[in-house]
Amino acid sequence: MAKQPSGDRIELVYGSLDMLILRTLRWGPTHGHGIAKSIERLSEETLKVEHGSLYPALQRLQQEGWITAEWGVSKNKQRAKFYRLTAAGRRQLVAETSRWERFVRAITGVLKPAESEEGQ
Amino acid sequence: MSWRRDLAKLGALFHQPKPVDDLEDEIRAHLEMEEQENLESGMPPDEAHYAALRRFGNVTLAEERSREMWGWNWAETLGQDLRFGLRMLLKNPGFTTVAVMTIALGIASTTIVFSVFNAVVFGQLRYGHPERMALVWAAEPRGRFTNPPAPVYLAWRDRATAFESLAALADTSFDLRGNPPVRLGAAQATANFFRAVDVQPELGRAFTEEEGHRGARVLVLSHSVWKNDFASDARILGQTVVLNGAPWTVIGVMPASFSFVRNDDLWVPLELGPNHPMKHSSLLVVGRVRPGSSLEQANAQLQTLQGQVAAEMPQVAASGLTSVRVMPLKEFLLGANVTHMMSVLLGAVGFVLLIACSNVANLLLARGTARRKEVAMRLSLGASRGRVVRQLLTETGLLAAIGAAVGLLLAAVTVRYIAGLPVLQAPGAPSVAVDAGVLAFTMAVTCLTALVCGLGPAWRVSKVQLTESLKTTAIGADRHRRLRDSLVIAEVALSVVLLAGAGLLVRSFVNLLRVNPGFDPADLLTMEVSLSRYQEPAAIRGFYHEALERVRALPGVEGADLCTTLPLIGWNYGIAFRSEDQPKDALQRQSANLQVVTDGYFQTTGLPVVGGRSFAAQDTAASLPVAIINRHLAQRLFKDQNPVGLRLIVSSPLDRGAEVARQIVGVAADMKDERLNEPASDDVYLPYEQSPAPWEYMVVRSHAKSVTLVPAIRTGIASVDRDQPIEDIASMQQRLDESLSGPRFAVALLGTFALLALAMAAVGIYGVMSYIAGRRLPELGLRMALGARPVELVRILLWSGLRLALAGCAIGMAGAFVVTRAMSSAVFGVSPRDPLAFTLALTIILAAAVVATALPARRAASIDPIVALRYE
Repeated sequence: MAKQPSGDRIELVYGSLDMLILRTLRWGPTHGHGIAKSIERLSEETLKVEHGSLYPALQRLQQEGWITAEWGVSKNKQRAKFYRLTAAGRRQLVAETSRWERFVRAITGVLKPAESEEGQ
Repeated sequence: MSWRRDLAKLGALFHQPKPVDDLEDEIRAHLEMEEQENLESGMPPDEAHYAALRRFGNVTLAEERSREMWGWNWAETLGQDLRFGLRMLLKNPGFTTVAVMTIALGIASTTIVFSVFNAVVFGQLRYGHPERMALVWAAEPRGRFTNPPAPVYLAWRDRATAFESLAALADTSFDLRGNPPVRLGAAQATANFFRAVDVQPELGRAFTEEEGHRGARVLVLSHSVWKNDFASDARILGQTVVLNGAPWTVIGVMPASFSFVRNDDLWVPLELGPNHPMKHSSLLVVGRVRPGSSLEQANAQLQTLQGQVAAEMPQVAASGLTSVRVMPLKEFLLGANVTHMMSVLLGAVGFVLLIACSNVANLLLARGTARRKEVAMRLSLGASRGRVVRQLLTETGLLAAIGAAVGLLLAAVTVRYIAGLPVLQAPGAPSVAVDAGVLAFTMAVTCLTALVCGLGPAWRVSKVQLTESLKTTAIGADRHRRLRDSLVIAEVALSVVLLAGAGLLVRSFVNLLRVNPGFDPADLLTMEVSLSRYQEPAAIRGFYHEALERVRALPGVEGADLCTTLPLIGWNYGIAFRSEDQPKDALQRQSANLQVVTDGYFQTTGLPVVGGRSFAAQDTAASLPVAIINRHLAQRLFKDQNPVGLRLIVSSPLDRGAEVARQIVGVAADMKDERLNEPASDDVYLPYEQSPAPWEYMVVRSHAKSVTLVPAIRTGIASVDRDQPIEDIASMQQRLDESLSGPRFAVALLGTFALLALAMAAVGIYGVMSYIAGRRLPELGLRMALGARPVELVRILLWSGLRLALAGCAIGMAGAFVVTRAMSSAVFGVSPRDPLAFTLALTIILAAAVVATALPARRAASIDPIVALRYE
């Protein structure tokens, strides 16, 4: 059952998947497959999403009231469930994003001196 | 936001269909889209399908996790797991029975000991904040401590600010008029006593400061006297009862759970006015410190205070009691002995439970190996590892729960039996029972048991290698061997410790049985006939003289005499003494046990007089004051000198504290004053005629049966005074047996636990050996086919089992050396490293190990090689 390690792909940090899904839905409603593809495309294939792991996250986001779901028809005339961002979801995305940016700034701040030392 | 989630969950419960019901469709659509995309990018159809599946990951797992997001899933899962677990347990009745019984025995032992512990330790400390309560004694700086006299108590009470309340109690007793008359043990208490113990009457009220000052004749009854002597009369408040011939008014009844230090029957106000006769008596002082202060602070304050008191009161300085001892209530009530014995027993059952757990863990491991294929199948079908562990743990939990139920039943039956044993009737302690506290404890232990037994095996079993396990029986390395071996070694080690401990207790008990109590207990009846209503020496003398005459005249009575205390009764009176050669102040520092006895006492009890003479009719109030001392005191005080004819200066309350020089006329053998297991102490005997005391026991030697003798004695004494109660009737043999009941109880319990441990360890070794032998059958068959003789095969197998037993023994010995040292105060007359006990423990466990190893080894070696080779 062990997952194959793939050198250039990064496992998602726990909790960041929620944010990515919300972000993807900002451009309009889409289905699970579409969300997975967007995340991969936008991250230039760096972020690895096991498609299966999207579904628990989608259930969780529905419960929080950040997204809603309804059945619809895809471009290829396939029946699929479409997820849509709610107002609460939009607010959550703003909060999450600024939290994430703070986090990234902090980590970068910590790592910088080490890099410059290495450079010397 | 969590309320929103809860609402959604509720919605999920009530609204059909659930939001996740179409999950399967959704995922299928997802996979189709991915496949479509793959096809478009030019993959062959087969490849496109599998690539989509790979990209998605574990479909079942994703579905399961998604459903779990809606929360209520766990209950469903638990139900499934329980049903499945029960089916699995029923499918293996042999395994289930052994595991359930092992857990049941472990849990029963733990529950039994904890219920005793609960009653003895927590039960006695059922006061609000017992950690803030302490008894306060006057002490010598070196350590001897005693009850402070009233003036000292008053000084403390008025000046010690660390205490919220500092109360005092004095002993007294009353004869309650009735048929038969009853003697009630009572405490005179200061009004703040009820605040100090923080317990109020369940009916009526406690007495007030004012009632205490004027010595009002009001009393508070204990629940048991109210129930037994007043038939729980609800209108008891305000009623008048006759105590020692005087009317008293009942103002309150204490709750059933209350008793302080001794089993007092009632409480009356203690008068401590400056001119009151009580001003010289000794008091039991109990204090409760203020919420902010600690017992240490209170102690420090009282030390300083006592220095001032000693400077102000010359008699305090003269007595040498210039210090105080603040003794936490817990220390006083439980003492080092009880606490020690209880921790030894708790430790012992802890070991038994651990052994039980490792046995069950081993069983689970062995079974897990058999179930490897099942587990591998479930993993490959998409179950997560956590899910499999949870399922296996649920099974173990079920096993533990059933075991606990059986164990609780066993414990309840046993506890009901042992609750009646006299050893557990400590004054003030509630009876031993399986109550809510015990149940909670057992539940906690059960959960712990399930985790301890189950977690290791479940984790191990769920770590199967899929490809290997799905094939037929793979003979690979025995993957659980290390864990299994360590479990057996641990079991053996724990058993060695338990057996060594039990051996020590048995040796100690045998030593106790061999102790010579100093007197002849056969045919000796004893009873308390203390006088509450006689004050004048002439009246006291007159009553006892008459009473003894009547009893001696009864048929079959060989002798009847008086003494102030009985051997082994646990308490005695003190008398200060010094020899003529010693400085005057030695009198304040030396105290012996006082016995006031009638002439025939030594003959009646069989306590030998080893030098000089016994008391006789010639020793009267008018003749030369005399005394008899025991051998221990004689040797200590006079060394090699013959004490007979020398003089002893004594001072006791009987002579109102005056110093009296008494001629020593005899030396008596040593007697066990309080307990069998303590060294002889100093005894001083005074002739009754010279010091008539109103508190006496009567000892009667007679061949008559006590059934007829006791009523005859009652009638005889009633004919002298029909209001005179007779209490505490027991033969000396009964008292002797009772004094052994504590050690006997400990030996019986620890012995049982040690045997249980031994049996479980043997079963554990047997189980593992059978397993090993089974695994090695093909190898053994091969060896046999190549010409090995059965004896050699047995030897190979024996060694693989005995290796573990020997390792366990080595670790166990080391453990026993450490553990038994903690028992040194619980054993008597035997070193905590007694070689006999240790050797015996090792011999027994090794013998058990040999048998448990030999049986499966022999069976394996006697199998037909053809069968063995085909065993696969």
